[in-house]
Amino acid sequence: MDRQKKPTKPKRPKITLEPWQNSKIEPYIVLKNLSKNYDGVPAVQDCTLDIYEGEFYSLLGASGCGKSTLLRLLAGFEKPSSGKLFIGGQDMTHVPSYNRPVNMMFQSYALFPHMSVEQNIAFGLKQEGLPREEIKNRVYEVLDLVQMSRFSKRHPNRLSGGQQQRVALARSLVKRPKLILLDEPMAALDQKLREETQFELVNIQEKVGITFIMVTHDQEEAMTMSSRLAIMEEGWIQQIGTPHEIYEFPNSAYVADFIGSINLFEGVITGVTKEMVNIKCPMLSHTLSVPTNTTVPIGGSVTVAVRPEKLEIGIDKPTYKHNWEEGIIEDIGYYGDMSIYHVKLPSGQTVMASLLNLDRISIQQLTWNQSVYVSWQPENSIILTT
Amino acid sequence: MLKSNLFPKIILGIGLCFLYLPILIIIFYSFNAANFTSIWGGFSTRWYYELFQDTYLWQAAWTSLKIAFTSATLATFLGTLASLALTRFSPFKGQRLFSSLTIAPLVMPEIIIGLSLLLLFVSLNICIGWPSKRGFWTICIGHTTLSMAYVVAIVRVRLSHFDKTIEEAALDLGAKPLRVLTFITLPIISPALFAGWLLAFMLSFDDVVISSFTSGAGSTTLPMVIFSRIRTGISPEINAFATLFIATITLIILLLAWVKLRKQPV
Amino acid sequence: MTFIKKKLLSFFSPILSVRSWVIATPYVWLGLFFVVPFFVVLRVSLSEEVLGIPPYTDMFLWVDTYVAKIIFTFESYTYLIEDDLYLSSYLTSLKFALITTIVALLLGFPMAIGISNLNKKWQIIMLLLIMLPFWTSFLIRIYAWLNLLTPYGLINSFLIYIGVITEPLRLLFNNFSVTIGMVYCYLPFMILPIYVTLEKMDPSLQEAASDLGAKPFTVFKSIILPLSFPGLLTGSLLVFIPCVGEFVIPEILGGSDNILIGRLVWNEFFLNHSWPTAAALSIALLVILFIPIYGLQKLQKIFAERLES
Repeated sequence: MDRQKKPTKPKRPKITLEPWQNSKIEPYIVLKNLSKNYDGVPAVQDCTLDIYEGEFYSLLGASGCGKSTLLRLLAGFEKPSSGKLFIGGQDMTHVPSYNRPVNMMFQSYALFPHMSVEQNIAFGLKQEGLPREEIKNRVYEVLDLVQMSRFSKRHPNRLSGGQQQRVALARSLVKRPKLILLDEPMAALDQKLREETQFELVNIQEKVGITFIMVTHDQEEAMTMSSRLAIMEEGWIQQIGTPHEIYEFPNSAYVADFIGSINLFEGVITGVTKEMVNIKCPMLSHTLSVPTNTTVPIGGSVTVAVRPEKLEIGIDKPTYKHNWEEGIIEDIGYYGDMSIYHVKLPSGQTVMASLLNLDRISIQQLTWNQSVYVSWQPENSIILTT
Repeated sequence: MLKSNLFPKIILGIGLCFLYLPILIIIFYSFNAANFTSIWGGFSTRWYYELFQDTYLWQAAWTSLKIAFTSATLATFLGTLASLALTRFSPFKGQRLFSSLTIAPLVMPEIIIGLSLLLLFVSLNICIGWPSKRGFWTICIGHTTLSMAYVVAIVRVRLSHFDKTIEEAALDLGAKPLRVLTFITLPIISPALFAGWLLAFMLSFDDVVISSFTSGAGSTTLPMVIFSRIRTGISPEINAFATLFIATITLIILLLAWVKLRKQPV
Repeated sequence: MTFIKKKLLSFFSPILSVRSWVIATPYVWLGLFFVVPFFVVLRVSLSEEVLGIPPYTDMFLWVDTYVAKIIFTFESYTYLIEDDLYLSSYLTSLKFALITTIVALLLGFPMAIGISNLNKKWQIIMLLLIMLPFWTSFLIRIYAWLNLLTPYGLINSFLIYIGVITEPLRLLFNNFSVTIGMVYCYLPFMILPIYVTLEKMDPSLQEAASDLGAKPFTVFKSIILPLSFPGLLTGSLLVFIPCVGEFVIPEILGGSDNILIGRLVWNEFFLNHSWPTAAALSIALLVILFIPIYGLQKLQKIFAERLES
C-alpha cells in the first residue's frame, strides 16, 4: 500500500456517534487483561478493550499478530489463559461457543456442504427449537437482506465466491446475535468485488444495528469500514482509535508505518518553546519545528513523522527557516490519480512526497534527476517517542 | 513429451492383462461341459445348475453374509469412535498407545490374530465359562478386530482432512457437540463411513484364516468351504461360483462408480 | 458432606462423560481382543505340551489354597532352534516376501507412472480396474491361477501350440507359482501408494527438468525416483509384511517343499495339535516382523523430514 486514500467514516444515524467519548454510555463488550498462550508461546497478551453497541470494530495487524486468536476467544473456540470477557454485562469467559450470543462469519465461510442455502441458514434457528413457520420467515428475511432469496434451494458448491459470502453473512445474522465476528470476510473475493462488498457490508450493519468485530490484515479495508480499530502486533494491542486518529496521530513508528506510508526522521530535541519543539536531525541540513506534544526533555532523542501527501514539492526555494530540504528526484511512481516522488537528500536519506495529478493534459513539470525542494507545515508533522 | 513416453504405458497394459487374464479364464471355464476344467468340452451351464443344488455352499454363504454384515457394522462403529477420539479430542492419557493399537492389526499376520483369539477364547472358557461354544459371535469378534483397523485408516484420514471451521460454525450457531456430530460431521463424512463399512464387509466375507481358527462346529463360512474344495484341486463348480461372484461385485462397483461420477460436477 | 459429594462427582464424572465412552469403547475392545490374546499366546508358548483339552499345562501349580508355583518352560523355543525345519522356513518366508516385493515393485512402479500420466478421467478408470480384482474374493483370485498353471492349462497349451515346448512345463506347486500368486494378490497394494505420491507431485517439476535439458531417463532418475520414495517404501511395506505371514497362497499354489512359516503354524496347530509350538512360532514370527517394520518406518520418517526441509 503506497497510496493514501482519505479515510471515510461510515455514517451511523441510529446510534450515538462516538459513544466512546460519552462517559455515560457503558461499553457493551469488555475484554479485561485477556491473554492466551499456546504451550507457553503467547498469542494474545494482556488485551483490554471496550467495544460499544453498534460499533464496527476492526482488529488489524500483520499475519501472526494474534488478531485471529482474539476473535476465536470472543467466539468461544479458545479458552483464555487468563483475563475476563464480558458481553452485555455478563461474564462470558467460560461460556461454550454454542451458548454465546455471538455468531461468526468464517474466512472460509464454513458453509455446510450437505445442506442447501436455506437449510444452512435455518440450522442455527433449529438449534433454538423455533417453530417451523417462524424459521422460514426469518430465513427469507435475511436472504432478502443479502439479496440471495432466489438461490435458497441451491447447495453451496454451486454458488460463486461472492454468493457464498452473502450466505455466510446471512447465516450469522439470522440468529440476531448481539455480536457478529467477521474473520477476513473479503479475503476470498477479487479486488473489484471486494470494494463493492465493503460498502454493502457497512450498509447491512447499519440496517441491523448489530455490533460487528472484523479481523483483517488489509489496512484500507479496516480504514474505510470501521468506526474504530485496534492495531495489534505480536499479541499486544498497539493503538486503539478511529481511522482518523490512527492515521493522523499514530502513537508509534510501528503504527505510523503500518497504516499508509510515512517519512521518519530521527533527531535530538534542541529547544522547547510554549508551542513548538525544535529538533536537530543528523540526516537533515535544516532544523525541524514541530508542535509540542511530548514531554521528552532537551537532548532527548525522538522521531519526527510526516506523511508523503503532507509534503510540498517544488522548484522554488522556501523562504522559511525550518522544515525544508533540497534534494534530487530519484524516482517517480505514477499511480494515475497521483504520483509519488522519491527525493534523495544530500545526506543520502530518501523522502517520499505525493502529488495529486489534478490536470489531465499537462505533463508534469518535475522529472528525473531534477533538483527540487521539499517542505512541510509544522502542524503536519508529529513527534513519535517510541 | 514425458507424458508420451510409451514404456510405462506398455507395462501398465501388461500389468492389467496379468490382473485380468486369470479372471477371464475362470469365467470362460465356468461354461465348460467337461469334468476336467483344463480341457474344453463344449459350452454348458451344467456347473451353474449343480452350483444351485449345492445347499451346503449356500448355507455357508448365508452364514458368511450374516457375519460380514454384523462385523462390518461393529467395525464401522468402533472404528469411527476411535477415529473421533484420535482426531477430535484433546490429547488424553495413552493416546499414542491407542493410536498405534488401532492400526496394529493391519500389519499383524492373520494367522497370529486367529491363533491368539482362539487361545483367548479357550482360556476364557476355562476361566469364566464363556464362550462355551465357538461360532457366529467368535468369528464376528475376530473379523471386527481386523477390519476395525481398516475402518480407522479410512475414516481417520477423512476426519483429519475435514475443514474444522465447519464444525466450529455449527457450534457457533448454537449446536451442542453431540448435535454437531450427528447433523454435520457424520453426514459429511458418510461416504468415508460407507467405504469403510464396505471394505470391512469384504474383508470379513473373504476371510478364511481367522474364521478357521475362531469357528466351531456348524458355523462354516463360505471361504472355508471354498478353501477346503480348492485345496484338493480344481473344481468346476467353484468356477461357476467365482463367475457369479465376480459379476455381482463388478456390478456393485460399477454402480457405485457411476453414482459417484454422476454426482461430481464436471 | 459437600466435600465428599464433590469428590464422588469428580471421580464419577469421567465415567459419565461422552468423551470417555468414545475413547474407552474401542480401547477396551482392542485391549480385550488384540492385546490380551497376545499375552495368552505368550503364556501358552511357555507351557508344556500335554494330551488333553486344552493341550497345554496350567501355568500355576496350586500348592496351597493361596500359594501357587509358576511353572513355565522354554522347551518350545529350544525345540524351534534345535529343529532346522523352523529356521529354514523362516528364511524361506523372508525370501518369498522379498522376491515378491521386488517383483511387485518392478511391475507396480511403471504401472503407477503409466496411470499418473493419463488424463483425469482415465486415471479414475484405471484405478477402478486395479482395485476391482481386489474387491473380488482373495481365494478366487488364487484359485484362478490353478486353472492357468495346470499341465494342460492355458499357458502350457499355448506354449505347446506355438511350438516352444513339447512337454508341458511344471508350473504349479513350486516356487514359481507361489511367487506369482503373491505378486498377483498384493500388486494393488504396491501401485496405490506409489500412485498417491506421484499424484501429489507438481507436474511442473518434470517440465522444469526437461526444460533445463534433462532427457526422459534423467528426469526419471533425478526427479521422479527421489520424490516418489515415500510411496515406494509404503508400498513395499504393504506387500512385504503380509507376505511373510501368508498362509493361503502357499497352501493352495505351493508344493510340499514350499514350507512357509504361516503354513507351519497352521500345521502345528491343526495337524499336530501342538499348541505351545504353534504359539512359540507365532511369537518368533512377530519378533522377525518387527525388525523390517521398525526399520522401514524409521526410513520413512527420515525421508518425510528430508522432503519437508
